[in-house]
Amino acid sequence: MSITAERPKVGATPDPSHRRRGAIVEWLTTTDHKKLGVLYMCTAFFFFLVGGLLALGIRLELAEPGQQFFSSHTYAQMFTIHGTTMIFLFAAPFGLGLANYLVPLQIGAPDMAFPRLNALSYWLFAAGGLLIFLGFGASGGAAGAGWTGYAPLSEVRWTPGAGIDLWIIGLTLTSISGILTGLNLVTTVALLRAPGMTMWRLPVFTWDMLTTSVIILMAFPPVATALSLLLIDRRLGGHVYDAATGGDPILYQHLFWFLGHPEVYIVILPFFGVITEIIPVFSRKPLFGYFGFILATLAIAALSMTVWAHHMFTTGAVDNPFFSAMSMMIAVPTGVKFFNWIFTMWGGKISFKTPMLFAMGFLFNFLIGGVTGVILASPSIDFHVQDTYFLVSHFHYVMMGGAAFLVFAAIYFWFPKFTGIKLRESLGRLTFALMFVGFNLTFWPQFVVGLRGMPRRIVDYPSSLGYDTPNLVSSIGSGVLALGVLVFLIDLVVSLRRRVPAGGDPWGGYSLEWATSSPPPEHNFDRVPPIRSVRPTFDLRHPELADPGAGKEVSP
Amino acid sequence: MSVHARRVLSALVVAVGAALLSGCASSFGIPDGATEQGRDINDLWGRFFVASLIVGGITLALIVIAIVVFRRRRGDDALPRQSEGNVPLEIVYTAIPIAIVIVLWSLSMTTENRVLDVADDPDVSVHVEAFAWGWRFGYPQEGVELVSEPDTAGPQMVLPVGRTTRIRLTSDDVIHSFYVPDFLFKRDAVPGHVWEFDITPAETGVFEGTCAEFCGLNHAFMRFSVRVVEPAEYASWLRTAADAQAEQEATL
Ligand code: HEM
Ligand SMILES: [Cu+2]
Ligand SMILES: [Cu+2]
Repeated sequence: MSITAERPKVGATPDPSHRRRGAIVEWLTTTDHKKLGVLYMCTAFFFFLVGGLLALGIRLELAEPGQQFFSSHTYAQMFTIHGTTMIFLFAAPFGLGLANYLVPLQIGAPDMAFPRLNALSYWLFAAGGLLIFLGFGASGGAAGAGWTGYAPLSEVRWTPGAGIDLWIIGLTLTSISGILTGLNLVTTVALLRAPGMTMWRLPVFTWDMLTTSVIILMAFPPVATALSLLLIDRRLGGHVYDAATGGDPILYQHLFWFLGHPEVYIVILPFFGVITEIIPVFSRKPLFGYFGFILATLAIAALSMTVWAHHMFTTGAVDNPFFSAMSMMIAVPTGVKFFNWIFTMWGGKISFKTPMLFAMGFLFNFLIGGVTGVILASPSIDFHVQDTYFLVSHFHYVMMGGAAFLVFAAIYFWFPKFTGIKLRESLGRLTFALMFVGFNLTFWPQFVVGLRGMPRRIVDYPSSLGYDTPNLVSSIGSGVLALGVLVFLIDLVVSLRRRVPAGGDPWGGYSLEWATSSPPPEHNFDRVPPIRSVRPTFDLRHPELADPGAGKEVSP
Repeated sequence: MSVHARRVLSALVVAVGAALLSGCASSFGIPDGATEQGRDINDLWGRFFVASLIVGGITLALIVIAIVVFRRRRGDDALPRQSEGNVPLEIVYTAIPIAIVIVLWSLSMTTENRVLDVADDPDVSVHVEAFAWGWRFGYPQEGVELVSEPDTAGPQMVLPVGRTTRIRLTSDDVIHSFYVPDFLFKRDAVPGHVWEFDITPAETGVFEGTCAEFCGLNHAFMRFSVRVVEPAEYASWLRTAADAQAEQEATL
């Protein structure tokens, strides 16, 4: 039984230079969800490398007390653009890019619901990123008021240059891009599922992307509003946030965090989906508690809209007990997911290929990120650790040790699908080892120094307060982490040069993308296999275990 | 091994040691708390720390056991049993975290109520005004004012030990944050708003303070300190400071 088909060969191609130009034009004008997905992921990964270089600069400056390398002005731009890039241009868009590629495949559709809108999303995102970075060429430099851009510091009286304006416009464009992608994904999942693909047979990654899209639709419009109001204050004489003229800076924080917190889930939920595709495949079992897992995802989405002011416990202006309760509650569905993953492995036969290694690294790091999150949700403890390196470390355990580790897991897992070739297992292991050690070496000391009271966003610190050694270790760790990323880049180059074909289904996958060729043909499937469970590709491989009736083919 | 490599290695060893030690000390890495409110927060932190160790430790143990016990042996190609869930178990692992969270939240709230409680009749009152980039500490009844001066370690607030001090906090320009790590407490100074809270120093000494909310170029250097002394010493300090200030104003 053949479920895959060779990609049809294109006819005679004349002159090679023509062909190259043709290929470039094709990539720039494409509306194919797979090509757009690849563009998204490559662009986002490029931003990760740039944001990482900025982080290395930060660690270089902080390795020892004293101001050795950067002025306060430059340093402020570095951490602001680092944070902005990592959140808005890397982590969230990478998830959306992955969704672009995978969601239509996972539901057995030929493309997204609105292919041209999809292309518009990508180009808005790319343009937004470009604008933010153009700030480095503006007088006064790039935005330097932190990734949160708190008013009134971000008002024109305190930060006059064009950097903040570019930052506002750039972020607004990426927000619009996100909203359009969210709409597109919701419509795609609602309307384009293949016959037999009921909602309770959707792969978990698709479920998580659907939920993420709904959060995007609720949270991005407020941030676009918050930023537009800031622009009105800055350039059109508004007084929304400026206390001196009757505005209120607290309002900015409410509007910003009304997005800012859900944004964290917009970043992490797609990767919860990623790890939930990976663990069952490498444990050779189905997901433990699929239904509970989806309920937990929906609970996280609902709760994520009610916790924003836990970023504002120290402002003295919010209802701490309510936001504390909601924030701690969100640990419950997150904990449920942990048990889903653990009991999926329980009783399985786990093979530790590179994607699984990164997934295991995630479990360790994210456990620490989650536990420290509950600690931060206690207002009184937050009074001490808010805005210190304890917080910086906490969110890197979630974002870097969590989301970014799963970016690597996703790349190692789906790269064969995207390209038809395999990455090197040995280099993958080395990448993982270096990144895992480097990451923990970078961020564990930041807990120590944060508990001692070292504030974040400082270019220098006095050497009498016990901050020196942990900072030095942290900076060394960031070097190890960077080395890991370098090995990954080498792996990419080596694998692309000396190609090892992967075949349609190199891992024994479960969801539909593994039932077509690698890379999939332009219209994704020649034949969509019958869908009788959450694991249609598994059913094909094990007809003896599948429902009676499986094995019959359905034309798309 | 080169000198450089050896230095790096010894830094590593020291750091791992320090990290472990800081976890074993009585306060699990945070200052003991030099105010009554701070000590309260320190207690709460201790409870959270132990709870985190237990919950995190059990979860980690489950992960490690799963990884070690259920790894695939070489040549074993048979499918494991394809179990898809276990509803009683799922209910248990949802209910237990809910119970834990309710306990932790209740503990948090009782502590927060005490920490944020304000006395009807505080013994000392200090007005704190943050500005870019410094601090103004005013003792309104006595007419004493201490202000940051360029290139110094910042002004030093003086408080009596064991007496309740009311802080009235605001900002002149952007948002700053009044933070004394040894008090385990910070509060944002927001323009257009005045916040009031009490601190009751529980031991004498000098405690470093800093701005904790990014406020522009010199944020990193926006420091101050608090010196806590015996009430008698406080009274005489205040008299001397008031006289000096009156004299200074007379000469102007
Ligand atoms: C590649 C490894 C990384 C390193 C070594 C690193 C390092 C740092 C450091 C030292 C800071 C603190 C700057 C300061 O407060 O002065 C920081 C801030 C930040 N990082 Fe990272 N980071 C990394 C990756 C990431 C990732 C993957 C994300 C998110 C997905 C991220 C998000 C942020 C954010 C949001 C901030 C706050 C910026 C601000 O204060 O405005 N970082 N990073
Ligand atoms: Cu300040
Ligand atoms: Cu500051």
